[in-house]
Amino acid sequence: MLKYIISISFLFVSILGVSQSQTIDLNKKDSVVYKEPYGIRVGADLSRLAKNFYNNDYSGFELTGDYRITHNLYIAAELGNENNTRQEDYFNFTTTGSYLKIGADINMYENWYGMNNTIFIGGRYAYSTFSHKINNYQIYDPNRYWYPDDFVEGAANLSEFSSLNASWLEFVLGTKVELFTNLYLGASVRLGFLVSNKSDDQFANIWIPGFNKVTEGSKFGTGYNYSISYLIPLYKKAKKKKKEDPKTVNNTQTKN
Amino acid sequence: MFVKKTGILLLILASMIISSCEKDDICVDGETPLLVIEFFEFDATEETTKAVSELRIVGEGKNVTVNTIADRSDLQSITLPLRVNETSTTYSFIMNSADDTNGAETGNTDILTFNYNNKEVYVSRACGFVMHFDTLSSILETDTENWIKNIETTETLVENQAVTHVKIYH
Repeated sequence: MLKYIISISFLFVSILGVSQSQTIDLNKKDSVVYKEPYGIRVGADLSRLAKNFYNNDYSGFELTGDYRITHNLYIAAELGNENNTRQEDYFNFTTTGSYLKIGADINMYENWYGMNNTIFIGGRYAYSTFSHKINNYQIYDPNRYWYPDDFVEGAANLSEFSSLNASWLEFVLGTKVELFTNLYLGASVRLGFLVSNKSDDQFANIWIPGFNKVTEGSKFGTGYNYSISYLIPLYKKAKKKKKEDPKTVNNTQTKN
Repeated sequence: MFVKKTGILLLILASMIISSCEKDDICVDGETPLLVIEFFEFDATEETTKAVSELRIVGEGKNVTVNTIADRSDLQSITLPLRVNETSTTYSFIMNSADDTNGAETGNTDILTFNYNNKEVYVSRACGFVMHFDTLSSILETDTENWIKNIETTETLVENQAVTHVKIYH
C-alpha cells in the first residue's frame, strides 16, 4: 500500500511541474507596433537667413542635416558660409569664410506613441577656413600734441589676411519638433572650444565663421541656430525591445 | 533623470559662458610708444648723465611746447611723441630757455630731426592698431653754436618706452 501512495505522489509532482511551465499571460501587450521613421533630415538655419535681411553687415547661410542610426542616435552635420563685418572701437573689418561641423546627436526624450520629437545633446568637430579684411582703422596714439582732435586714420593699405583656419569642438543642446509630417522646427545652443587657431602675424582671429566672436584670453565661443528641416524617410523600424529574462517575468507574475 | 541631466548641462553651459567674459572694452594692452631721450655729459670719460637746464621743446610748425615734459625745467630724461602719419618729426631743443623784455627767446636753439619707418602693429580688439617705428636715425641741424655736441641712436626700433632710444651728449 505504501508503495502505491509514494508512486501516486510522484505522479502529482510531475503534473505540477508541467502546469508551472505553461503560465497564462493575462496582460498580453498590444501586438500593433509603432514603427519609427528613419531617414535623412535636411534643413537650413532660419536665424542666419533672417540676419541677411535685418543686418546689412552680414550675409550668410547654414545648411543642417542629420541621419538617424538607431532609436536615439543621429549623425549630424552643419555646413555654412558667412560674410560678417564688425565695427570695433578703432577699426572695422570683414571676415569671409566657410565652415563644416560633423558630429552626433543623442535624443534624450522618450516620445509618446506616434510622436517623433527630440530633445538632444550632441557634439561636433568643426573646421573653418576664412580671411579677414581691414576696412578702416585708426592708430591708437593717446598723445594729442601732433593730432589735437582725434586718432590718425591708418594710411597703410593693410592687405587682406587670407588662408586662415581654425578648428573647434562644439557641445550642442537642442530640440527638434515635428510640426507636420516630416517637417521639423529646431533650435539649438552651442558652446565651442577652440582646438586650433591659425592667425596671421599681423592680426588676430577675433571672429570666426561658425564659431562667432573669439574673446581674448579665452578659447570658448557661443552660438545658436533655429532650423527648419525636412525628413526624407528611407525606411521604418520598430523600436528594439529590451530582451526580457523569462525568470524575472515569472517572478513578477507569481508575486502579482 | 532627464531633467536632472539637462539641469547639470545647462549649469555647465552657463558657467562657461560667464567664464568666457573678457576685459575687452578698455584698451590696456598697449599704445603708440613715445621716443625716449636721455642727456649725457659730452666730455666725461665715463658715461655720466647731465640734465639740460631750462629745457623747452617745440615741434616744427607748432606754437605750443611739447606736452610730455614740464616746460623750462632741468631734465635728464624726456619722452617725445613722433608723428604717426609721417616718416620724420622735427623738434627745436632750447637750452636755458627764457624770454627777454620783448618776449623773444634768448636760449640756445638746436633743431633735431628724427627719421624712421612706420610699422602698424595689431594689439588687441580694444586697442586696435598702434604704430611702431623702426630704422630710427637722428639728424642735428648744424648752426653757429650747437649746444648738442653728439647724438647716438642706441635703439633703432621704437616699440616700447622701457629703453632709451636716443642719447644726446652736451
